[in-house]
Amino acid sequence: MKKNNIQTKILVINVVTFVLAIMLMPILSNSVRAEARETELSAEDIKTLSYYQEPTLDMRFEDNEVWVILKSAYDYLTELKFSDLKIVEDVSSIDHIWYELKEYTYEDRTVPFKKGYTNYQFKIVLEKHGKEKVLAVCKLLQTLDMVLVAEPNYIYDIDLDYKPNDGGYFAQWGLNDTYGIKAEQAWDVTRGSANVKVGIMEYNIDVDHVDLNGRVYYGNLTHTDDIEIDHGTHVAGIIGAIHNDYGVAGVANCTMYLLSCSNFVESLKYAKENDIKIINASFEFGSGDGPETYAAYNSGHYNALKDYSGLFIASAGNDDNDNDGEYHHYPSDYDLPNIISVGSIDKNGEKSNFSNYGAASVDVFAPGSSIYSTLSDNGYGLLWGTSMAAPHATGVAALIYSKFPSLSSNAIKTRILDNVTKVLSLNGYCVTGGILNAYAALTNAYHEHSYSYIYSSKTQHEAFCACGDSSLKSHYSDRAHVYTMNGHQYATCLACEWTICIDDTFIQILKNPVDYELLDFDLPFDSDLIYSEDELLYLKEHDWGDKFIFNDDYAVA
Amino acid sequence: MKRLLIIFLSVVLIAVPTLSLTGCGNTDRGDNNALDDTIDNIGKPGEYNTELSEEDQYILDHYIEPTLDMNFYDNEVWVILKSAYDYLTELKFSDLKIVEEVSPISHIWYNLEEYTYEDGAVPFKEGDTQHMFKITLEEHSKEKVVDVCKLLQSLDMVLVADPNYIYDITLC
Repeated sequence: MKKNNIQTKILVINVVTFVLAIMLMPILSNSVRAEARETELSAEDIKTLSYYQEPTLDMRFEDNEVWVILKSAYDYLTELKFSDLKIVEDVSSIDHIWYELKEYTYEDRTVPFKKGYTNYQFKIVLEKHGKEKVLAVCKLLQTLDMVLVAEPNYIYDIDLDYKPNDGGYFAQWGLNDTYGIKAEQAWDVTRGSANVKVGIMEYNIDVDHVDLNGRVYYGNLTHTDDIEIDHGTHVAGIIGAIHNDYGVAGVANCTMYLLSCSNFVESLKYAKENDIKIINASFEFGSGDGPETYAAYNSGHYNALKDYSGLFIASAGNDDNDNDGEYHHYPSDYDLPNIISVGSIDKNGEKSNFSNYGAASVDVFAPGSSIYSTLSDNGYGLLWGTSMAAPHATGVAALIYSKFPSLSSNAIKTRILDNVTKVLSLNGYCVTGGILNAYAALTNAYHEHSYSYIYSSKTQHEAFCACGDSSLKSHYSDRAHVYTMNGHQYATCLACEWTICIDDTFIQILKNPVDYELLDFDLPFDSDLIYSEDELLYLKEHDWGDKFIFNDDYAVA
Repeated sequence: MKRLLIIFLSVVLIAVPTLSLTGCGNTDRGDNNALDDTIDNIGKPGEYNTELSEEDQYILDHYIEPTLDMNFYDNEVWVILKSAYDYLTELKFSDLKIVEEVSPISHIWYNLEEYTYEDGAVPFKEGDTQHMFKITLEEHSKEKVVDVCKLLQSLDMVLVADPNYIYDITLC
């Protein structure tokens, strides 16, 4: 009887232990993992730490802002609670936290982190101002385990009006000519960073070229022979030729990796595993003998592209083909949010006669005709093609990524597409109806405003307008109608007072009409706008009061 | 005897849940009952009517049946698994036994690594969806590749099995 009691007790103890084991196991296993997170630094963490400089009072920085980067071990976090930063309040209350273009206050309680991001980065804005306070907050934050680095928001001197001195720069119309990508303005914001990794899918690149040396490395493709080496070298030069007072200037300082275009899936996996954030693909699957020879959709390619979290920038093709139509052009036509398909314009801002197009399938146009860049054996020369247009966009993506390293590929794509320079001649040829604009994309300038067309009630002709920053004030005496792309609202300006600015040949509305009434009618804009720089210069010399002439056919007000 | 039985039961009662919680085994089934249906189907041919995700359907809608006149490598097959099998943490070589009816597998390429029979299994990356890998056959023959594709397509877990097509590439 006694023996039975003991056995029953042992059984009960075992059952209780079993239940406890089930209940505690997840907690125990989690706590073990949490402990591991406390000490482990990833390779990226170590790299970031190696750049870290202890801030001192003599440095220039904003007196109420602190940038914080969390350790990779905390990538699992889905949000950051304000209470996690309670330690900051020993010095100053937090005014707000900036994360991914949004501001969060105590009332929000938490900052929701975006899924899939690594090394979360955010900016704390303190209520109190004081450089000492900023330093104190940095020190306090560094004591938190989750914080990899906490730094002041340094103020750097920027060499404004920067212009490369590379000998061939004058021939690079795609960078800063009238229909160029506004590279010089963009370089006043950033010239890129070697930390940005860009993949170039090609057959070969001359990595020893004097203008590329140290910027291009072999990825999953090593140099075997000189097949198509000029093409790859030219593309690499457009993206990232060194600003070295020699040869040509690339769009962005970045580190480029040669990836195999033949082993497409393997290259995408390589890029993913090696943190290559942007890929340039200046090629098509097909024999090149017209759109009817384009290769069909490939499920493996699609799946690998979908799996790649970076931005994939592809040329739209050189067959003057409507990619929305019967013949789809791959890889540029894969319907995925991380792909940008790029068509080509010539020096006059017109679609290059060879360039493919597509109101739904081609996203944006960029310079692709007579583009001057690097060739093999330290050579330089002109090439034509959407192959040359895509790397302009890749360079711009690299600039954006260097300025905003935590942006997702989708966010970078949105910035690029939301900030094009609209041109009526491209209306219907691509999704955005515009030309790549590096400066606007970097500053997100146009996104903040509405795009507008203006035309005169007298002439019924429209002129292209966008938003800009330099200004020229004008007082119309006549009423003018305004069509706002944003929200598709039509308006008639009654007060007739506008702030208008000129950027190259474009008229830009800086400020919407002070007083307007909404009307419900369609605008008759259906033709290309023709203008020239000469006429614009003429306009600049005159009062905008009553003369606003592009040419004989297009007279406004 | 009873004591031994009790000790045995104790060990079983504690060890089994502990092992399952610490991740032993090749699956992480979670609480999703829908997944349960797929587990026994791995590596077996037949119609199991596993639910297709939107992504699966999109890929299937664009699928082109391979024919001998197409240009592809004569010993390589790309395989994409259905989304319903995303939970798999590894793929055992034995799950692809059906391939051996045509040719032994030389190796499987997955995420920049090559795996052979000796490895026993291909470990899938956490968070990977629609697992995708390339089977390299020991024997070379376009007919065998097409046959292997057909056999693989008969497996419930396989969404599509394609030859590794060789495309003309034109620089633009």
